[in-house]
Amino acid sequence: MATLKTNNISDLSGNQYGFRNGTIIQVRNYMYTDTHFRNGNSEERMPNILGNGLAVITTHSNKNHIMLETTIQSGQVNTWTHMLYRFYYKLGEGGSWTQWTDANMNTYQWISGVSGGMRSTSNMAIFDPNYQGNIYFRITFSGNNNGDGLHINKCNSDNEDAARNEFSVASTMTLSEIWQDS
Amino acid sequence: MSTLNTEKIVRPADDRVLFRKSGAILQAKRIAYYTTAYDNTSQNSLFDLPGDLGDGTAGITPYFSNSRLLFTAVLQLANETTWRANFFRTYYKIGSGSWVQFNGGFSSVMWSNRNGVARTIKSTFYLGSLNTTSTVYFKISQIGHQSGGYLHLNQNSTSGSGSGNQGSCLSAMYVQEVSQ
Repeated sequence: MATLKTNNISDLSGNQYGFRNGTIIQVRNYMYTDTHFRNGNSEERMPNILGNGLAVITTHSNKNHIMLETTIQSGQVNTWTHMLYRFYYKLGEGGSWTQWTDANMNTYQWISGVSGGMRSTSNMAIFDPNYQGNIYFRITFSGNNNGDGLHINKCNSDNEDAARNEFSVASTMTLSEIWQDS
Repeated sequence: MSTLNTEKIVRPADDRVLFRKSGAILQAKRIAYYTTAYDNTSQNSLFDLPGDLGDGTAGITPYFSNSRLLFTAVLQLANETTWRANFFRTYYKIGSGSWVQFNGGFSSVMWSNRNGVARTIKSTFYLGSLNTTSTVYFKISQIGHQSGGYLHLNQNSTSGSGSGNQGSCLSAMYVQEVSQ
């Protein structure tokens, strides 16, 4: 198969076709649909793919940027909970985990005496890793000193503290690679 | 009209692949961000958000005049006892034109007897084609409820503090240009 090399492809009106600064050239999605409960307020990793450090995107160039979009489904059990979610990345398998504070986010729910409610919390962040290759991501959570613990994907309409995902929600992490010319 | 079929089209400098399709995201850009914990107690008065979230300098320049713009705001909002209700308006202007409010507005209501509990609010709006390749600027303004409308931007604490940004959280605006 032939390869055509050119600096520019234009339509008949002179509009350029092809990647430009900011073009999204690949998307990776990771999700967790099971329920998960953790008590306490120390910083811990999120369950499974959200926190085990295996969520990865492979950049095609060290010029390109990464865009992250996350949705965490935070359940509630009598009476309230507040979570600080922190995001970390690692450049290459042998790299070190570095906190990416641009992506950190909070959520809380407060309904006196009520269980089974849930709040969907989302973020968006873009950064320049200056790296070509595998970039790994993971999320941690820290609970409020006085609130209840983490209830990922727990939701029901029966006011129950049950390990049940009644509404089939998913907590997800989406990674996109953004082309940069230089 | 001739048709050229090939496995890939690359530029000679570095063999990077070139292509564009309708509906593709031509550019994704963070146009503004603000990291400092910010308090405003003006309650029921409309004001622009601090920094480039509200000063009108944040913008994106579309590559094509018929592109559509996908606007996203991510704000970190905190509560202080007992409740807060914050309403946000979104505006754009083309070049040196006038500000136009669009339907990307959003709101947040928080109720808790604790200081420092916080929520991350994300809102997205898909603008129609603005028929321009000039820079399109964006800003956000806020008006609070008359009784619980203080704004606590980027404030968060898991230990009940009513000040500071424990998680080094960031509020930002993003715009994506969608090819048509």
